[in-house]
Amino acid sequence: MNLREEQQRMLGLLKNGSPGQVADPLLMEKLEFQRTIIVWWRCFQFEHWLILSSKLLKDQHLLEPLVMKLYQQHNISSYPAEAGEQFVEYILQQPISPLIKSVAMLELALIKLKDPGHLTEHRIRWNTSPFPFLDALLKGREYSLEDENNVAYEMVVSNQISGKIMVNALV
Amino acid sequence: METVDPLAQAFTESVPKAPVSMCFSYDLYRPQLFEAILPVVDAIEICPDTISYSKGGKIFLEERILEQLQSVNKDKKIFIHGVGLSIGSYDEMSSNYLYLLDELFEKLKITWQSEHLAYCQVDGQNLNTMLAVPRTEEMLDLLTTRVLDLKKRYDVPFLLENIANILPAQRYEYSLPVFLNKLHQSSGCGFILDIYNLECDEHNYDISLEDHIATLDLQAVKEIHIAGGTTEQNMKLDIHSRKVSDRTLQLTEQVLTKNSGVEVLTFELLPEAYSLYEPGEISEHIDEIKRRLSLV
Repeated sequence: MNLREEQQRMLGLLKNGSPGQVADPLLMEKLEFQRTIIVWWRCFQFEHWLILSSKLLKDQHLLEPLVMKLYQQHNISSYPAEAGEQFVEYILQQPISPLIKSVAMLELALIKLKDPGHLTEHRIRWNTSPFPFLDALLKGREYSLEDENNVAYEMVVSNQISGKIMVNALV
Repeated sequence: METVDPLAQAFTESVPKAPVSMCFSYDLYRPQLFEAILPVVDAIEICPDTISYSKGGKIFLEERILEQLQSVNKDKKIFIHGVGLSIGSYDEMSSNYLYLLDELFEKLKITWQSEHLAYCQVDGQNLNTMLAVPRTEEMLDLLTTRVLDLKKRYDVPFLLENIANILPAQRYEYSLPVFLNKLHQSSGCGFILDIYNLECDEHNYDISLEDHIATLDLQAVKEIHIAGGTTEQNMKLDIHSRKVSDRTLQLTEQVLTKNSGVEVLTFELLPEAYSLYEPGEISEHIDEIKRRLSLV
């Protein structure tokens, strides 16, 4: 096996290695552990960048499985902000509560708004009244991921709005 | 077997050594911490990957940290210590990382730069970790060419650091210290001796720390890294999240008493761990390290 083959093999094993692919049980065990560390580390970074989305996913026992799948299926950037954005895009494609997706979009929008030159307007749909929900989340109170019946809101997040955030009820 | 002339050894061990500078890894904009460490360090080590961010597909250095570094660059040495160069990748080194180096060398006076003896990307895919390079002639040739290119491109010394291994070694023709010595001879690279990483390898794979230190050409070691970390599933991890342990300091002291080329001792603390300690606690720990190792 030459150097290219060896490194490509290690990439494949780390990303998608299954027990049958490696004869050496020690290597298999440590590969599993290495993946655990990679995912743990990524979760730790996402918890730093996307505080509320990560909390919601953790509460639903979804954070680690989703990060593992992201690692296996995508080329995660080594830059935390870019990786955070990749994770939000990944979350949006998953069959999970729309409320978690709304929170993830909000957090991503707020990160982007830190740049005063960012003038894009972000429009986020919510199936529940966002402020009471976010308040409960921030204060560690009980919250529900159930949709409010027949209610929808649109949150506009923009550097061009005084206070950055505006919410309108949709009829 | 190599014989040592006791008189020559006694002489080299009695030669006064240049003072060792104290350094801290500063990679996150924390003005209070920056102010707290400045009086207790002679140098600052930065990680280009960590002090940069990506926007619209482009990579930028964090301006606020750059300004802090520029403001002290006259009095404090600045070292670059990367994680993203991927010097051991079979195809190429990271072009993003080289771009960051170009920017840093343009904006700061850099005393030397270093990287881990590892690869972290394959075919442009980020492994999200660093893996050890095979210690073969083929790798030796590849690394020699790249080290020589880096030294020529930036005109400062280039050091390589031993990583801590989670995976067992796959194939090698040489032991790690012999491989490093050969690389030093062929490329002129120096070394960072990461004592804590060696402790991890000792704990996880029973490598002999003493043999490593005895075999390594200590004259080529320009910097020592120390840190504290954690153990998970009986594996000691190089997560630099804790203060330096007594044993790490004892081992460091042993190396410092030998005839080595060590000029700098760096206490590494991950930016994610800064919040675990008050800024004053970190500077006190650095002071304690200096006292314990008679660097003051």
